[in-house]
Amino acid sequence: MRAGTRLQIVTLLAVWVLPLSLGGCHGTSVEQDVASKALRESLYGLSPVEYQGKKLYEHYCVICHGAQGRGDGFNAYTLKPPPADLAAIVAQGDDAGMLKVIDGGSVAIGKSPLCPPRKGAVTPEDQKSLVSYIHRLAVKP
Amino acid sequence: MNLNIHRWFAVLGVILFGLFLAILVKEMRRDWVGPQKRYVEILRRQSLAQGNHERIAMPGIQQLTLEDLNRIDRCTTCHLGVDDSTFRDASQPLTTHPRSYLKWHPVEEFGCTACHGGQGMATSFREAAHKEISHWDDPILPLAYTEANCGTCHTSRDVPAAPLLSEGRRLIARGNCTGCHEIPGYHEGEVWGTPYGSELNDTGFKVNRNWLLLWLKDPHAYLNQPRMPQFNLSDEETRAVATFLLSQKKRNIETLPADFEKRGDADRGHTLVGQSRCISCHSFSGKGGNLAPDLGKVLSKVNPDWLYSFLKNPHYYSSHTQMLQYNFTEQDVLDIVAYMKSELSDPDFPKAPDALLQEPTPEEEAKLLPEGKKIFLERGCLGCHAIEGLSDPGRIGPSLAFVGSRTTDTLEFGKVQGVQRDLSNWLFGKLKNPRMYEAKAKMPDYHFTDEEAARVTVALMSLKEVHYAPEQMVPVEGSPRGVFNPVGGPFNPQGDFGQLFTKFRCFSCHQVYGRGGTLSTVSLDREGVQVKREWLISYLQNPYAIRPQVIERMPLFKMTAEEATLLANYIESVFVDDKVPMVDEQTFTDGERAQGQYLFDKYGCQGCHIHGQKEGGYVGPDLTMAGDRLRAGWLMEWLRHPLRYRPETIHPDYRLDEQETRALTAYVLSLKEGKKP
Repeated sequence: MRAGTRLQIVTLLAVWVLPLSLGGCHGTSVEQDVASKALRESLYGLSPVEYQGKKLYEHYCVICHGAQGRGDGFNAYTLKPPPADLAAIVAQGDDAGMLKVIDGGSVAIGKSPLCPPRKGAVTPEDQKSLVSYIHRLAVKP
Repeated sequence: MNLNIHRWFAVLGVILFGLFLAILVKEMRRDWVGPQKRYVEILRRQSLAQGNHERIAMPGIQQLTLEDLNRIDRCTTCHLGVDDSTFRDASQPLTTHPRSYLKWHPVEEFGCTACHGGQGMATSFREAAHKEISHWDDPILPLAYTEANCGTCHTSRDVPAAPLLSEGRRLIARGNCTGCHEIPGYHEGEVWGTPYGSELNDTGFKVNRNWLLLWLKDPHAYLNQPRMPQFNLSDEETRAVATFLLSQKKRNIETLPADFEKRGDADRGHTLVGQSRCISCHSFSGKGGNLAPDLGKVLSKVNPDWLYSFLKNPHYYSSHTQMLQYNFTEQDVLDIVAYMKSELSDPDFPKAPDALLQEPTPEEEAKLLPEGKKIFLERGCLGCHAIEGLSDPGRIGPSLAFVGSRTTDTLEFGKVQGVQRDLSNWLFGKLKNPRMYEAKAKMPDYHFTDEEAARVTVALMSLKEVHYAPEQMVPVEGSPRGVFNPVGGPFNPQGDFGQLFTKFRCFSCHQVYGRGGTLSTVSLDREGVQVKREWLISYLQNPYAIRPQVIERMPLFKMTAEEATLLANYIESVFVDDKVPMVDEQTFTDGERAQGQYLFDKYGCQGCHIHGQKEGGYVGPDLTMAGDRLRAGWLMEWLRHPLRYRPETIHPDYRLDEQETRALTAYVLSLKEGKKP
């Protein structure tokens, strides 16, 4: 094989390999999915289910139970007995009881009638979302 | 030679056989075979547990033909357990779909790709365009973005179970993006007619030069949450636009009387501002409503003479304003201006840089005027504002009709690096910094937070070009339960009533037949069968807080008795619903009232309602004077079916029977003894 031919082969190889390696360089830079990240973070660290629960909580519950679920909402001081501290309820670990109250009101577990039933307005599935959000509330300091 | 040919044939034969084997192996190892084997294995174990020893065959490729959605989905070839709850603990791809979405959208009817995206016809992981592999035209959406696909069929502003999409759509409406872009479904506009921003016919009379320069440079310098975005104008451009706007003096204004300082009573003005409930719409240094601009330092912005003229005749100076025309006397206006002058200005209001602030010389002005007008038109200011005599050049931005269907190769990322190249990231970047991809982009900066930009991105991605059957689309108007609209079209009152309705701008706060503002939770659709005429006449003249918790209250219009009577008569005869029965409250017995009082306690109504001796909760309306206010038929109907009339109400549905309803109504209507404030 003549030297000229060998040189041609080397040049050809180089021409082929160069773009490939450049492509490799491009591939190694990390491309971030900033939009999804922002959306996930914008849920205040909540899962989509918990976020749905938060929306419902703010619509139906916050006025008596308060933003942190401590039973200190705007309407709390007019109520006798006062609204429950939801952190304490969560600590009891009785989700079924909580669902009963959401669905049928506090009378459903033999307490005062002041927490009204949400049957018909909040679907069973959304009632579960609410419970999952109330769990998250309870963790907060 | 012969031997050579045979050798070639042999080699070729071996290669072909090798290829055959390779294809065979590839066929055996197709992506869906593994999951189907696992599926069969699980089924077999289940049937063995029931003592059934039959052999179960692999189901093979599954295909859903969704004619209405113009789609063919084969996803269930691998996702076999998607609507079978016994697969809840199986690993992907066999696991059951989480939550109950498939109850509302059964797989047989909706398939998978209509909601999740991806290539429905594919039978391999890669070709289905699962999210890990980018650069597909219709990849499976990241889970957080799935709500965008809800929006392809659900075209209403608020979509149930899609909070991010709904919030994004609200932001698009609030930002008036339709001023520059065509966006289907957002054309309702403001009830008093466009424009969205204020009319600029008299800017030269209305505002001072310093304020205008600062505002044009960055509206956030004056308001915390301005509706106007920042346009990134250079100093020279800012001066030109300001010069053009300050030359607008189309309607003459009155000057405050010379003895104004003596005549204006600031204290009385303060009381009037409180009574008129300006705070229902305007905020004062952050406190109050958000329908209209903050007035905390408004006198650092507007000229007192203009304010005086405007308060006397707001609709002459701004025919599209949402603000009502109060029946103020001359003295009232003087007092309000005196109050605003003394309290609502900022002595430390910043000054624009001298170079900007310098008044242009006449020669300069001649040059700046046409320049300012050109910029005003080019930057799409007419998308939100109006100036008489300037014809609208139309929307300056591209149509966003099918922006959700744009493919990655049509997106210009400019010099941006390190961002995954897909539609959601492109939109997000553009919203966060409109000049990110192109330094000369005209789009102004809304100062969106990450949270807001991501929500708007979801809403924009829902604007897809889809070929679905019309019956699959969920209509724009109203809730699924439908809006009560006996006239069939938009409500547009005429005559004497229409004039008063327009003068007092009822539409700014109240809805009628699905049209109008939502500041008040009371839609007027059925007001005529809900409240008593005599009560309405007195309430219109002397409104009071029915819901103690709500800041946005009815203003004191200073309405005359004739005006109130005319409105009440019309409301009583037109805003009615024949489905609400007429019930004569004289038929209620003392026994029913007593039973009602017992039920009132039993159901805990006092938890939310004040009644009798001012006891009770602050959530619902004060019932102390309910008997003066409410009609029996309506109250019974409401107590029985609150959700039918207002799906979003927090009034509980106690599923009362006929007798309980009568009793409660009888009791509540007996609450009359309260004194009017």
